[in-house]
Amino acid sequence: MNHTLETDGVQLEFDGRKILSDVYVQCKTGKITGLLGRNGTGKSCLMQIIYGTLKAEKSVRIDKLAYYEAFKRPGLLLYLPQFNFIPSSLSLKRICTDFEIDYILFSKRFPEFASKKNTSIGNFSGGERRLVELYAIVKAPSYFALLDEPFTHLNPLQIQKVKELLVEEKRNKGILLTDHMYREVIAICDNLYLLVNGKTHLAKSMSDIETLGYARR
Amino acid sequence: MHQINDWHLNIVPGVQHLICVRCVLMTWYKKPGFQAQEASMHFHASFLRQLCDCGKVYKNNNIGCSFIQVVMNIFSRMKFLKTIRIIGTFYKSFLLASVLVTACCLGLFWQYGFSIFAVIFWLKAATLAVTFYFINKYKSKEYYYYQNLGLSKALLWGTIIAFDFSLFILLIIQLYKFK
Repeated sequence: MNHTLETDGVQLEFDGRKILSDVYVQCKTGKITGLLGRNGTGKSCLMQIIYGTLKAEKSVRIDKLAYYEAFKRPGLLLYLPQFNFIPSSLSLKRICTDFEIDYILFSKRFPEFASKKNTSIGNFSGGERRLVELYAIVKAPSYFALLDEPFTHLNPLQIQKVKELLVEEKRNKGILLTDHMYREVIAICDNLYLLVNGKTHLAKSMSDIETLGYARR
Repeated sequence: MHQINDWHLNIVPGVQHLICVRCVLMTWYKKPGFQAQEASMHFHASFLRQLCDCGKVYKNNNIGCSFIQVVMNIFSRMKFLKTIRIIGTFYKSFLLASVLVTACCLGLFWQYGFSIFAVIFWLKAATLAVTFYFINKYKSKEYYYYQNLGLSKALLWGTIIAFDFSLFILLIIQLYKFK
């Protein structure tokens, strides 16, 4: 069954400065939706607003049902913040149990973790830690996953593997992702939004991205 | 009769069948007059803004599938245990501080008796408030872990404060009896 996540009517301002004012984002299961924008344009804020942890005027709907605090229903929506969020004392085994992930499948895909089942995540390197967090959010059962800068701290080989994982996993869920490594984002996403001056623009080609002033060829 | 709200989980993705968690909890505790089989599972055809009349709904919508009921019951029980385990993980991050404060309060109570009860009560409350402040300041990023598992800040703190204070009061009463 296909599901649709829609967000609009978002109004966000800090100290009188409008951050988000005219937003429409649609994300469907089976598709990867990219969100690009310069620093400070409100990409992370938009994700937190959709997730429900940042209070703002908004309308977030999943299958036309409105949700104000979607995070209270992990079966609907999971969120990978741009920083490390898993408590460092937890072992890989415990994380897999909590997120209902098969550790064997994980270690097959990422063999570097094969002998680290009982190791605390605090002992991992930055890249390994990011990989575990990303895998947990992407693989845990839910309709949608919001990924804020998923490629940060990852090396090129890991990025390639993560891209394969995301393309594979989009069969099971809708993925909304934002990252400054825009070439990696463009390579895997089916729809792309650009956030400029608090407004979202649906980009259809590289020239749109250039016209809107995000990147140059 | 109670309102269908967050107590009810959508257990089958895409299918709007809801399990009444409150009723399942009651079956675990086997309250008198509450039949486990009757209360184990209620299927509701519609989603929000309806009233859940447990007995009535069961009689009207009895799907008569005991296997599904048993499976769903186990599923819910596992969910409950998982929630407790996750809250325990959060509690562990400041357990030592909490135990030390409780021990100090008990020591003072042992020394001075009931005359000092108000002081140690507010001492315990103040230290909990300080703990809340420091966790929010230095470990706020970790809240996303719990939120991704379906536990809000309010649920985490509400459960822990209720448990910690109950334990504190219980220990004071026990100490008073022992004395």
